[in-house]
Amino acid sequence: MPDEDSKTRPSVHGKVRWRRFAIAAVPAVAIAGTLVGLTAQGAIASSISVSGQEFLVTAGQLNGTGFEQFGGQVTGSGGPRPVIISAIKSASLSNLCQSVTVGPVTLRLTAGGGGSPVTADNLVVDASGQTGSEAIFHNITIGQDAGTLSEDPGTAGQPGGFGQQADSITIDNLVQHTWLTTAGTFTLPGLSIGFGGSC
Amino acid sequence: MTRRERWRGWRRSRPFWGGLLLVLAGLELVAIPLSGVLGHGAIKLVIYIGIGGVFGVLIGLLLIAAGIMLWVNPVHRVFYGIAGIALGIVSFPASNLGGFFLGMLAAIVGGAIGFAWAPVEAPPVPAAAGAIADEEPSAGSGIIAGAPGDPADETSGADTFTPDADTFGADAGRPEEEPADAAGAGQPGTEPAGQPGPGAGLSARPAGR
Repeated sequence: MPDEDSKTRPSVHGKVRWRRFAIAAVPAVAIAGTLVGLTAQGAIASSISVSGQEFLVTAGQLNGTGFEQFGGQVTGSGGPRPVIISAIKSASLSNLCQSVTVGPVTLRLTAGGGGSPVTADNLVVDASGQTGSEAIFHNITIGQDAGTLSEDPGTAGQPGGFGQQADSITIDNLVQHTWLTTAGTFTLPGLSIGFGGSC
Repeated sequence: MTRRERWRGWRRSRPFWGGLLLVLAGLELVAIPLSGVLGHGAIKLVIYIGIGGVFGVLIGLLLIAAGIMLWVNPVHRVFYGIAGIALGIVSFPASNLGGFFLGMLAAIVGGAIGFAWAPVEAPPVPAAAGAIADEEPSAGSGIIAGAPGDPADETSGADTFTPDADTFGADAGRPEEEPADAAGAGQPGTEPAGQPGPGAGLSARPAGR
């Protein structure tokens, strides 16, 4: 085969030089490993945004400032579907666990154990269900026009819709089934990620 | 030549697997933040995704572009390979922990394969060998290729460069294509020129100076 090739077109095929591969790959993996380590210490914030998959989030306790919540709907494959959209300007979550199913495997991410909670900025979650064992709201306004919500600048619902907002919130034993989107910048101390069951 | 042979020839004449891995990494990175939009047409969600989603999509698209360019323009494989590696590393903080590691790893491996790929000269006739070796030195070996490559007449070079040929042989022992070269031991002067540059260069230098 190589002989035929080289007769018709010279130097037509190539190979991977594995030493060169190592020269490129080893430093890259080292840098990536350093980034993973820094992220696991909470030194680097990472951006997370997932949509289109069922995404389960649980946390031992959520403390947030700048909280907005309003109804919305997303157009899923089975037609429009109502969601609760929660926006938190700045949140800290202890014992965070997120699991997402990508194709046949379920990835499970845990962080924020051992007294150093996960912090997240501009967290926006479209949840199809949200439960907590206890919720405390400070300075809550219920029934405000969703278009005029102001606690998390840049995020607001449809004018005329129902909305509520609060200066700060505390939710214990949070469980959220997020349907379409979660976006935010996370610092993830004590990050561990692996394949396994859901949270 | 059948279609299958042409396909195989096309694959082998470029860093095909490196490019494929880069394209797959890019698709994966794009799919996680955007599958709701692409699958369900929920354009309004982009508003909520925000800057994280933008970075994820941008990195993914650039990775796809780098992979395709590895195929159509393999001459610049070093650039596209390094770009793919860098994008893969950046994707870790910028896009869902590198697509939950999968996209990041695929980009690093694909980029490194693209970077490490090099054409093999398999000269059927010794006369052609010299010409090919001269016009296609691999990028890294260009500097040191002058030493073993300069003696254009291989017969004299074979004697003077015997020690070099030994070090090269020891270095390049792993690639499987070597048997062909070993058989053509008559022209050791030309073969090293096409061999992997950096490793050979490092070992040749202490011997020379």
